[in-house]
Amino acid sequence: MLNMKSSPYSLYQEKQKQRYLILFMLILLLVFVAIVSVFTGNYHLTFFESIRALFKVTDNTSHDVLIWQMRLPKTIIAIIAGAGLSISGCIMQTCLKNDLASPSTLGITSAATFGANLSIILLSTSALSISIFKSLTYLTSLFAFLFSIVVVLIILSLSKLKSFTSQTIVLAGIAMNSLFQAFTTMIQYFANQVTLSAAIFWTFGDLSRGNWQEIIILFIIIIPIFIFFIMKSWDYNSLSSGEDLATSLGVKVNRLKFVSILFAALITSVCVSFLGMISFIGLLAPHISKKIFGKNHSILIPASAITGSVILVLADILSRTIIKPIVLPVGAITSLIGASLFLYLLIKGSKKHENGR
Amino acid sequence: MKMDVNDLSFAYGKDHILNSISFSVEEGERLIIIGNNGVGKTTLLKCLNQMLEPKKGLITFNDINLNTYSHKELAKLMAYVPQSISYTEQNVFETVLLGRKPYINFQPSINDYLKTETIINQLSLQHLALKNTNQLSGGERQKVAIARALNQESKIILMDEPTANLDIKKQLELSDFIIDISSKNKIMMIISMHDINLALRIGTKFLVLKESNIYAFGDKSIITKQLINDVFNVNSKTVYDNDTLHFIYE
Repeated sequence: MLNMKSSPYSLYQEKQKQRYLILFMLILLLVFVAIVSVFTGNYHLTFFESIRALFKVTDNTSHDVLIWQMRLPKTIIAIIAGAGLSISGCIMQTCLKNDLASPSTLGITSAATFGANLSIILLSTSALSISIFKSLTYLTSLFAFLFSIVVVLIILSLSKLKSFTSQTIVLAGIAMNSLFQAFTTMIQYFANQVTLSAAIFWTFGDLSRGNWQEIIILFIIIIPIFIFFIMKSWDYNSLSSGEDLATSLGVKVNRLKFVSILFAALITSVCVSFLGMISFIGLLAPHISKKIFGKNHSILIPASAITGSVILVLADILSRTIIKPIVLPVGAITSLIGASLFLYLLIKGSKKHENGR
Repeated sequence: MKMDVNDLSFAYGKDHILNSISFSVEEGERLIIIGNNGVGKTTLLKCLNQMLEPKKGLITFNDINLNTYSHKELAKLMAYVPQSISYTEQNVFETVLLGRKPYINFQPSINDYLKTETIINQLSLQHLALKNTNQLSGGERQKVAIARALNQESKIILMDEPTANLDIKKQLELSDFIIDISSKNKIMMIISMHDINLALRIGTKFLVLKESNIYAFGDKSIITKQLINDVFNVNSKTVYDNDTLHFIYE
């Protein structure tokens, strides 16, 4: 019994306990930043006014609207979209065996943007008025989705080619990125001023665009996919040790990769189509989580989700407070942080090569 | 327990890699596949494991065709130790636990954890249990990979160049380690190698490939100076030391 304490299993259990404790603290952090997010903004509410509005016991309808129609949905959207974008990045990284894979670096986000721009500009030129425009927002989302799927299919078929390594996939993604940005610029060139500003405004990632209806749709899409990813976490663990090995462990690798990347892209495109460009969450959050929690997906996936939520809620708070009263697009904030990290990873990665044993 | 390979051929497009390969392996045997780099040793292993689909030929285990096995059944029958093990931020315990994958539906059971512990203890890897695999040395990494394969509780283990990229001392250690576990666990092993002397140390049966074909198949006696000259294109001398045959290249 003496060596029970230091047996590999008990050591491992100890380690897992530590990890779950950190995960729990991360959840507390998320709750905290979410509360801060609901309570901060340009219109100053006292703590008690906010609480009363939150529990619907206020007489002041403007407070009620502020909390229930603006701040609360915005915060919830930040939580779900942050989690969704992050897990989709995490899964793409595992399936393509590249830590730099993410919806934005693979060009999925720009393809969705192109789709949205196309639908906004095409619809307006076909003389549809702005009023029915509103009812067609889901058409914009549909276009965004379709184009992101096109990119996913291209990426998947490229990854099947023998000459494509996990490194070249990201290069292909960068090419795809420029390609769709070029397409977007071209169609924007032919748009008139009103639609152009609508289209450009759309590309700014903005969390306040969604409301309860979007929240429900995001939930309906992200929760089942999240559960699917968690269910498959041991398949992903096998896959991250190599495709051949995963096959020899009984994993149907091709099918798993296809379904997973498709689901990941679905999450991305729905988020992007509702909220615009919110880049780099899918790169930033899984990277941080891997450093803290390791690559066991049964804890990495939930950890990435919560990290993503925390980052997006924080980015949203920042966007509202950096240069008050102006509200910056949250996508700009996440890109700012994410792109810096991307560069850092590249530099660190190349250093590792130089010092390789 | 018997595995038969009958008239197996494989090609990438028009590029013929393996041509009409036939051999058989029995319980407790260690078959070493010998040949130059690029001759198709890895391809042959991957065909055996159904990772690659052969152009023609039949592979049976106890007279049952392997392509009637499901992915999971096959994983329970055969484990694979690839040549380059990708090392990630998974620790050794998690890596060995991965061997239980064919038995895991959603999350590992207590039984899976306990089996993992037993294997780690059995192979004396306790001190490494919480180390990430990317912090291990080449020899340790190979042992962990073999531990994972053993944890799969399969009847056959395929190994692709397990001693490549190791120091000489580690090569010998690992060879003895492989002999030890195969005789203790009565596991059939099929191992690809290009070092003749190490092959002679480990193997009980030999399959020599040359230009996509079988050059020879049989026990130790088939490995001769003539064979080394024909297959590897080098002249050699033989040295007997403690009744073991060694080849010295000229």
